[in-house]
Amino acid sequence: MYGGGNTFEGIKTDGLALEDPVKLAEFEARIARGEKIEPTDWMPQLYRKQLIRMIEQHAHSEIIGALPEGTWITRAPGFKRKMSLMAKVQDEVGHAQLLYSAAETLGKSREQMIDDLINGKSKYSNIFNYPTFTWADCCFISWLVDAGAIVNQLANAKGSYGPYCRALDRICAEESFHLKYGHHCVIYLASGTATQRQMFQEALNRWWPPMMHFFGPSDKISAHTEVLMRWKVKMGTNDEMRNQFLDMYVPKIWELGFTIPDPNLKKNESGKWEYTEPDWEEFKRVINGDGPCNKERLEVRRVAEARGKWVREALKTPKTEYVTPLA
Amino acid sequence: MDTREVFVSPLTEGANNAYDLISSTDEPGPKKTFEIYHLVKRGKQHVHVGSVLAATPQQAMSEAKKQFNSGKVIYNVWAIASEAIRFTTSEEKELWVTLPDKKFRDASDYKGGDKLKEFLERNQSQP
Repeated sequence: MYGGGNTFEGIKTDGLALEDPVKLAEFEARIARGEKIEPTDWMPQLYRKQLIRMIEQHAHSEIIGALPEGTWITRAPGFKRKMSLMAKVQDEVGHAQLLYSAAETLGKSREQMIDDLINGKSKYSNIFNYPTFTWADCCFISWLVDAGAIVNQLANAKGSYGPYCRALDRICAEESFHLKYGHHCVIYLASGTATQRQMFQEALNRWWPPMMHFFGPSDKISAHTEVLMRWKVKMGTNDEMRNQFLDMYVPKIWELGFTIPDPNLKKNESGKWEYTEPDWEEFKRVINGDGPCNKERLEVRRVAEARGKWVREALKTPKTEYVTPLA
Repeated sequence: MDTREVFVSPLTEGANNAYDLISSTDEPGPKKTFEIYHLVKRGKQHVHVGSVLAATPQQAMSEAKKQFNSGKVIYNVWAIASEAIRFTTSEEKELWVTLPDKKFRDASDYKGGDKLKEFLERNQSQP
């Protein structure tokens, strides 16, 4: 589960002038022809850096994203829901493994990525810094956060970096049952008792603002991404992705008789969705560590790392050395 | 399997066949089996095409060129000593069996259509 391009940080393109112009032109021509870039191919430093950042953030989002749902496995209503949720959480953690391997092909080790997650240097999807108070919150994530992630992932799977695209193809295949499961859960709440309906409505009210944040800052204020679009690192602007999500899922939410907490939300004549801009100051605050669950989420990872340390140490032999995955 | 065990040919593009960059070698010594993988489309994964007998990975590439180079463009070749690959045994074959009771891992197990239809009809009939 991942929301792409979710920071305000600008990218510095001045280093591009130092790249070999012939190699750069060949690289850009290859991408323009729709070919994939492989780990052993020449690539500009900026491409490498941005891809590491993006794939790493995506991987972190998968393992951190498993936490708010994972806490509901023991409390999921009934054995069937428990089995499904457990399988889903297991998948998310598996997705992180695929993505860490894809990022490693670009030259950053997995240990370094985990360290940067724990020390706060690397980010992950903002939405997982919010709490899951009720079962309905968990259902919101399973259905709508996954839906948002699929919008991003299907777009990114058409990107230019081979190992990332191949990982995303596998991830998207697994996500199909997650989305159906999430929708199934919400249909049951919607067609249930008044209390169940109210529970989901309250979850929707809580999660709508972070869901709007999920696709990253508005194009009006977000960092310049023209070069990243040309290199097929980023496959659509934040607003385009958000619009696609609204187009696909707002009608489904309305169909179930729920109210989306934004009186300005409507589709205009040109087919674009209009909405109240979410509070981007809150988004910045949460991304920088001051959200309701940031500390708790990172603490879980820190404890997991500390507890697993002896196992990793025990597996080492004097000959152990770091090996980068091939592709 | 350790990725250092994978002997990798140069990666080509366009109409350039990676096999054209592999020279023929014949080396003495005891031969062992190598598994050969082809990359037939850039951006996709390598696919197993067969095995060859050779003394060194270089010779395995050269043998693969004789046996598997059909003239179709191959962008990259891997040669891996079969002994370096962990194969599952026939006793372990159930590792590959998907349990029939894991339907919950399939999107088709989540049919909410009837429930949704019933809900929508119920809502319409109410004033």
